[in-house]
Amino acid sequence: MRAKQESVNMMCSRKLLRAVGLAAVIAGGVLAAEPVLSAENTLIWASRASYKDWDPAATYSEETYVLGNVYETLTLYENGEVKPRLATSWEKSDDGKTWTMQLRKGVKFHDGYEFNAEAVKKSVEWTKSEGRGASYLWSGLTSIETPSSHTIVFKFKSPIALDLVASGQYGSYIISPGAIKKGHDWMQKGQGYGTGPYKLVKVEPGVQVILEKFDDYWGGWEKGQIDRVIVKTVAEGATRILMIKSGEADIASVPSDQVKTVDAFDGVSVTQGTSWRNSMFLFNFKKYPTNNAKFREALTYLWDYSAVLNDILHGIGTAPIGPLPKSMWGHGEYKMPAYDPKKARKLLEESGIPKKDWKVSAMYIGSVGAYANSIELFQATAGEVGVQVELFPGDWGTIWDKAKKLETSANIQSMTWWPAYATPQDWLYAQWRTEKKALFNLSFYSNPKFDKALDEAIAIEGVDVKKSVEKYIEAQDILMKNHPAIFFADVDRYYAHSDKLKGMEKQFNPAYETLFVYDLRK
Amino acid sequence: MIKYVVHRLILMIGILFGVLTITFFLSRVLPSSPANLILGDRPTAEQIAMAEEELGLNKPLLVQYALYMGEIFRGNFGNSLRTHKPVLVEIHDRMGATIELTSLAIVIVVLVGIPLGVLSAVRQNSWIDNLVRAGIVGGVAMPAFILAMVLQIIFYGRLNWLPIQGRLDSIMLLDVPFAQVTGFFLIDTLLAGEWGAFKNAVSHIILPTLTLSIVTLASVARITRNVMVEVLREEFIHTFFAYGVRRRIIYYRYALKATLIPMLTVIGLTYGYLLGGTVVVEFVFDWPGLGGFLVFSIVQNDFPAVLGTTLFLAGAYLTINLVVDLLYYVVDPRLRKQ
Repeated sequence: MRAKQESVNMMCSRKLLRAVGLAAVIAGGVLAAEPVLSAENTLIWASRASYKDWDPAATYSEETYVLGNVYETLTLYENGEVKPRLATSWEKSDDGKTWTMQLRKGVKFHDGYEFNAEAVKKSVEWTKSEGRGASYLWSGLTSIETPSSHTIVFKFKSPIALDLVASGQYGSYIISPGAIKKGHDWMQKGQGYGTGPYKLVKVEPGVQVILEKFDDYWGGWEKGQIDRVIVKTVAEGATRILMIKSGEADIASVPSDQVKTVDAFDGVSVTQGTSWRNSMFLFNFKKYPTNNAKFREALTYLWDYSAVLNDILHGIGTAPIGPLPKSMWGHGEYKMPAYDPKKARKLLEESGIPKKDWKVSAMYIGSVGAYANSIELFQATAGEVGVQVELFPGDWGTIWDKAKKLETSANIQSMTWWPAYATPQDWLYAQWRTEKKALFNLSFYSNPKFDKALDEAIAIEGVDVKKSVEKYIEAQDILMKNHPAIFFADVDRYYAHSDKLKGMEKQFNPAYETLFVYDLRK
Repeated sequence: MIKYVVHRLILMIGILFGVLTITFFLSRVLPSSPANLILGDRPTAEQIAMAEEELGLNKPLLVQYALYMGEIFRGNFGNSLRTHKPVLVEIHDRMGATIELTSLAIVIVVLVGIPLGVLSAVRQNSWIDNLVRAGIVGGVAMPAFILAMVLQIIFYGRLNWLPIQGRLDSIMLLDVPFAQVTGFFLIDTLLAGEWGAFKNAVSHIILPTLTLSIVTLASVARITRNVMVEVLREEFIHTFFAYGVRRRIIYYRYALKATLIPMLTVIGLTYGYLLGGTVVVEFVFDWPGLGGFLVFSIVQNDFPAVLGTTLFLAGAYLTINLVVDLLYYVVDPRLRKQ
């Protein structure tokens, strides 16, 4: 009996062994399939971004990282100058309301349409009429004339710095008449035709976006340039890091606290440069106790600026010198507060606010480490002098809805700002000009002197940009006297990339968040 | 029997109706306005008003509900606010990914988990039993995302044997098109005769499946062990031993059969849970399935997508339960006699 039992056992174990062996052989055969590494002229970009609006007339978010390769603007802003792009020259009337532009010849759209004045007229008028994204930039437009095939005349009802507006990465892309005919919904599916060096070939939401070289691009092509771009959506930061380390991805966005580690990988570098983003915590001017100027000033001395920049932002940002980033023209320079609890305490006592009321609420996007960690640090440092900070993290949609109404808003509100085009008014107008119903003026700041100086600056910007600087500075002077916010970082942009990739230094024009693949070589 | 099935189907429709209603009111009550989704980063006041008008958010809640239910009965689930594609298309495109992953996982869970549980029960308190029980505790306690990342680091980072994310290599997706017949890449690539793509799909599905299986396998093994131990204490088992029936026959023919009913229940519930519970695995491996889609939709209050996907997952779960209940009839002769 036992012998039979044992032989049955052995038979079963042998069968088991055979099954396991077979599985191992199959697995080995499959695993022998080689991992696909980046091909020579394909750029693989591992990105976290979730893209939403593929219609360039509607886009107002991360799509510009990619779309800036597919579409182009009439002018290009670079190093403080406006340079020709699809427009080769331009002049404006003395009152700044009429702009005449000469357009580049020999440019084609991806679908074969000719780039000319008619096409530009159609594109701009369509952007304006759709009313989406940054179309408000064109709201003052009254008419467009096309006296010749490559001459176009824009007329506005108030003066406007059109050369600046037309260089913007939102709302100023020139779209092919063929794409316009197919319409917004068609484009939103991830399709469209521009004049840029790369065609938008395919969009698989949540998986990848494919761009391919446009052979007839007016800028021409040379050896070593990228033929194909695969933008892979990789949600998890650790995965992106592994991909850049193995060389499977040529370029990737990595979490800021991993920058030093990633830079140390063999064959990988992290390149950093200026952007026009700045981060701040706005003060609520209509909510007690931040409606008290000395109290606000005291709070600005309770923030540990260097700790935040070094240990929380890990060097991905620099100390601000005013409400605008130092890389933006027309920025004012101010003596900014430093972490000084003694001074803060003195100001608190001078403010007249009773100690029992030294309580503030702070609302911020909880998933953004820069906000969450820095406000928690602030809670600690403020607590040391007796100021209680109550934290209200959340997602942007919810927070914004609450912040727009005074009753549900907080004393301190997180904000990161960057402009639609190269102008100080973008910050100053949206965030601090009087708003009857709050949209982005989440400080509920209302100062007629500030409004007047700002309005004057905006009016002159269209006529004489250099003169407008004086007025912009005047407006900022008024603003800064009121202690409007804790300005804690001029944020840099950075990419982790393979060392084989050349041309990364050119990617840090703060006017464009696009990764300009045309300038890269592999 | 037919009466029973019809009765269950009617109940199912009723439940789904309830699910839809509850989810609808929940999504409207949530603080974040879904209008934010179809707007960009910097909307003007007019754009916000236009978006709310488009979504019908300024109408009274009951009117919105009635309008929505009307659309549902006409088969129109609306478009996802995030991706602008019809919700039904999104579900159709993504369910293949999730079902492929979960089906494979459940096969492994059943083929490995159950024998492990049986082995552990049969050799109670031996070193095998203790090893399996330790493994079970580890598997149940291990968070899925940590296991996922560890597997990525080992098999991709160090050994470079397997791909790190996705269902298929990017280049393969572009250059080797194959007809999506079933939505299961493993089947579709074979049907199209694309051997390279098949191998690629297999290599991509290994790690996510392993992660899902290990985490689920532990629970199934534990339940199997417990149920088996209970069964082995039954009198009829003692009787078989007393009659001298061979051990192997007692364990694998009689005892195991007695565990079938609870095991069916566990497998059915596990499969249902897996359908929605793949979120973490889908996130870490960028697996374009329903779990991840649902979570991202909820977080951003993409309510057409939330409603449609929830309905689908609820329906799938109910269907699985129905199938399991029907299988009881097949498996248990006592029920059939009634």
